[in-house]
Amino acid sequence: MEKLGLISGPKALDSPAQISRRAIVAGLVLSPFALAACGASGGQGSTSGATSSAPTDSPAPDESIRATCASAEADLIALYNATLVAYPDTAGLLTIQDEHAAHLEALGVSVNPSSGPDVATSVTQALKDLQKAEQAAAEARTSDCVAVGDAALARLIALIAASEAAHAVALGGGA
Amino acid sequence: MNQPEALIAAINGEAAAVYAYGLLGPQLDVPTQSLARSSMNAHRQRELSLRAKLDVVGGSQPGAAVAYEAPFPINDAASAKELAGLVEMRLAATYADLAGASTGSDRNDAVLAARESAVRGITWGAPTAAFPGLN
Repeated sequence: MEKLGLISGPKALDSPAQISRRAIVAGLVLSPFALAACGASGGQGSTSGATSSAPTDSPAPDESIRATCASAEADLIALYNATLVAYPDTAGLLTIQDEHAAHLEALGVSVNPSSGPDVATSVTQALKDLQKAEQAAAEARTSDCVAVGDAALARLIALIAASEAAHAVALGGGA
Repeated sequence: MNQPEALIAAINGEAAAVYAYGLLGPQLDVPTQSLARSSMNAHRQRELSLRAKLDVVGGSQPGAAVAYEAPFPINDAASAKELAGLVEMRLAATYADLAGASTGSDRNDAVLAARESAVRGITWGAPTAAFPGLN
């Protein structure tokens, strides 16, 4: 098996590998692990380098979608930044912001940091705004995922969409 | 991974999820059991749709696994919820693989399934993740 790309850290391997020694058959534990490992090796080229895997479709749209995704991540990071400045004690926001930074890194495109947006005057509303932004991002990434040609980029964007849909719910809203 | 391989992986993941909910359900209190039941039914439906899709694209159907082993003992509500969260997050990653291996509306379906699983994982108390099921 090829070595794992940057989207799959060693943590993704450790515990399932330990479990697989004891697993009776490929199943509950083993099967998802094996998948993650295969998929991650396939995804390495485009998540870390952006040039090594040949797009199955025309390359220009893929790169433009990759840039769109990156700039959306930068906007979200700026929104979390501004929210954290206004409401520094809000639990959990820093973790989610880090996850967006990981998305941006995996996309492999450097973008200028976005300027800080205005933050609502109540913390409740500020959290609702974050939630709305995450939900909108999940929707936009879903469309982007379908639009790209490269399979590894599609996989990465699918993971980002799932992460952001989960963020929206973790912030206290519906799916 | 090609589309039939990714479909087979997703079918196996769904079958494992159905098994997991059967295993963990009895550890939950009654209101939470109904969430486990509806989750289990959703996974059953997804497995059937994936099998139908596999027939369309052409691939031999995987059989049921003989046995599964949970990664940790499932002996109370907390461990039951943890397993549900883990299974859902890993399925999200499996569906992301399927998204990569599919195109068009099949890919759209796979992304929506990945989102649904990740969201359900959060509902069961799993932590958020940059790459659900992988970190």
